[in-house]
Amino acid sequence: MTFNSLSYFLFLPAIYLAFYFTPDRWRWLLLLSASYGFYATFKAPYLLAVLFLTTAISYLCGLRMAALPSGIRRKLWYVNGVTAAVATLVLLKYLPFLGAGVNKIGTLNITISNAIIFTGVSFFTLQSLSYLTDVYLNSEEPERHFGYFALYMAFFPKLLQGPIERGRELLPQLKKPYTFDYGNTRSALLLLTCGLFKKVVVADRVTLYADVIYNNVHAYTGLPLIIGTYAFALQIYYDFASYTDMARGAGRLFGIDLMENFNKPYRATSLADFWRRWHISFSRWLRDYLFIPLQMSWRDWGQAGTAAALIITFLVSGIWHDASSGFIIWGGLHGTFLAASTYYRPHQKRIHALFGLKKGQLLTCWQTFVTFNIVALTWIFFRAGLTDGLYVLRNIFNFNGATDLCFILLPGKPNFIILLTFFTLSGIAAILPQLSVYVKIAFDGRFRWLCYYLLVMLILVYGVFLGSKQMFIYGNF
Amino acid sequence: MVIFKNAATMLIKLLLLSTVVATTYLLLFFYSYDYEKYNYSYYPALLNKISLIENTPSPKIIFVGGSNIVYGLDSDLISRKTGLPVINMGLTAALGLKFMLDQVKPYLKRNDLVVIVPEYHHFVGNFLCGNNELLLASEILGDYSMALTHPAPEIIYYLLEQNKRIQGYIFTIAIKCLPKAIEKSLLVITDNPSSPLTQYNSHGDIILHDNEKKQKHIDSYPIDGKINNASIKYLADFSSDNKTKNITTLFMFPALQKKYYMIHKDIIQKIACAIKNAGITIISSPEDFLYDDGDMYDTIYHLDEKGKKIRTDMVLVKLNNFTHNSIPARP
Repeated sequence: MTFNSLSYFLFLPAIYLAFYFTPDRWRWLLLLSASYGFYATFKAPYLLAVLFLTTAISYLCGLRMAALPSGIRRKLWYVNGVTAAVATLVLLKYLPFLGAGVNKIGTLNITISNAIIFTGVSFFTLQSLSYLTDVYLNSEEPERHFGYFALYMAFFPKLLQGPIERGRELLPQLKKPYTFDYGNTRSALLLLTCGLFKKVVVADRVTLYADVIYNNVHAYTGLPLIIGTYAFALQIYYDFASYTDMARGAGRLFGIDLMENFNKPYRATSLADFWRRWHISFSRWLRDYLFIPLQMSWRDWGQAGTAAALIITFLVSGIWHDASSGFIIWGGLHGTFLAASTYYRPHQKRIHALFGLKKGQLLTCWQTFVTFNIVALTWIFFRAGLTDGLYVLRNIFNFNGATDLCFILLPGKPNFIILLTFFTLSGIAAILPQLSVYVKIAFDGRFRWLCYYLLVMLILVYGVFLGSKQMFIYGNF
Repeated sequence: MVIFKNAATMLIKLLLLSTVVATTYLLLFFYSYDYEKYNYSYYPALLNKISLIENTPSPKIIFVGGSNIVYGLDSDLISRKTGLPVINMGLTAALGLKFMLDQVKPYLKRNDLVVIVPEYHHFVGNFLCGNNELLLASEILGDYSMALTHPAPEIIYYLLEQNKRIQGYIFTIAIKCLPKAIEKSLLVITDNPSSPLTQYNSHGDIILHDNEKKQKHIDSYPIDGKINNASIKYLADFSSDNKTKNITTLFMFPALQKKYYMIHKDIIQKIACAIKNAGITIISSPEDFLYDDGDMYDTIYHLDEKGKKIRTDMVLVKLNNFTHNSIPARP
């Protein structure tokens, strides 16, 4: 069951109604059952077992660590918990890849189905790791109620694609008594609807262009590859951001505020800024649990240590997505660019002065443009993998062949018109921030119901509804 | 109490909003729906083909496949050369292999010759059963008599005509199908989903008229790297089942753009190998039916009139080889 499916829009109100009429002390049980039920709809019983086992091990290790003041045994419980979580992830996610590698090297004929789905596993594993680390470092008290802890791990709005929540931020909210709040429910429904709009009207339409090009990259050179690359950059943003909006909307419906995962990432003025705005919960996780410990342990190396920590962190980020070469290259590129920027940054002002660049809107625009294009460039490997990615890189500026742009109309003229309208309005809103304020006023003012009506009609009329074929991109990780 | 009142107020407002949305939506749909489009859907063509296979005496030759045979066979020529009636059951690959085989099965009789020419895409990914709309149509109608490319108008039309179980499914239809139909009507789309009935000849082939220019762009479709063994098993079961009834089943590879073949050669060879290993009688190789862009019409599987002639000749040669010269090839 995905967030853009009809069944989800029947499931969510049903759970909410049951939640509304359930007494506070049993609400955790209802949400926990709903979360496991939601996960069960993926028809992979082993996923439920993995979720339960990860939860149980993390819970037990957390309690054991709290019971031991310090010393080797405490550390042992921590290492056990972390090893179990990482091993689960590796076994489920990377086994097909490792199997293929072994087959290539030797004569062994290991058959591991690629059809294994691991939706959500990467996300709840990271949550488990952060919980264990926080308890180990005494920055969080272990949760003693297994039900609440299990709900923290499995809460369905964030189960499949995050946001990756910290225990100390989510657990207290799960225990808070719920009271219906008109304004809160209204904003929850608006978030849900806006998320759905981003997914079915924008993301799934841009997808058509990215797919036309990237499913057959060798047939194109030059401009079509540029358009396809930009289309994918927009697709992945709107796809993931829409999921986060819908997750936050559903969470808010139950009185739980999940963290914001995106903050206009394509307006970032540097790669470091991009990672502060993109998949914020994941970047924060990487920073706190990987980058900072690495940087600290390599601090004697100075700038080189920081650069190395950045490269390692982003390589892990790539592998976390998938073990295939495209993702590793993607992570490696981000790491390398960021590492290079640590050397460039101290000289930035001098370089700007050398070229006569002054701090202002023009420089910001230029930096945004460059950052967006670097990010889009790295998306090539994320989308196409290594071989096709290299082809795209070699041919993206090859304008020698006849550039046939008729592929733009392949997904249909209306598709083009709708997207053009949307992105033109978004562009205007970026230039004129007051437009966003007017939109906000419209949605809060006297004619708000008319706005809701128009928003729902836009989704129904212009949405792309293809049922189970329309997974969210990050549902694959 | 106040909280409960607030919640009730919100619920009432939401219900009102839903009612207004649903009413507008249905009004828009029925206002904008062009019933003429029905004639451009696959549905009437499918009914015609079913009637054709039902009423043609045996022995006969039946070609089963997707649009590669609709656009790439001269059934009339094959009929004249073989002396047997020929029916082209092809419509679109998106109907799925299961649908294609299931739809002909009840009409096959002793001594019939079934030539299966599916697209390569039927043997990878999850294309055995076509796509969701078809499944929805099958679910609604209790059979598989609905086409899928533009299903909403046809389904509504059919249900209204047949007075079937519309109530139980109206919500599903509305959510899944109507947006597409409304969007198309509102923005006045001119692209035809299929060909009008008049464009099919009496054998079921599409005849491209002189005024239908070759398309500038040849549509290509991604091909998944994983072979769907269920498709191959379904085909093998179909073939062995026919054998027991004294019906000959042959397999032929589809017409394909040469350029596409070169890019996807590995997976196509794997598919060919898997079909061969399943014990299905194959009378051609993938390389027998590869064509230059100059012979293609609008997709990697569709041939123009020139390509169709070349392909039909090759089909006759292959049939001839199989039947030990009992079917003469075109001079």
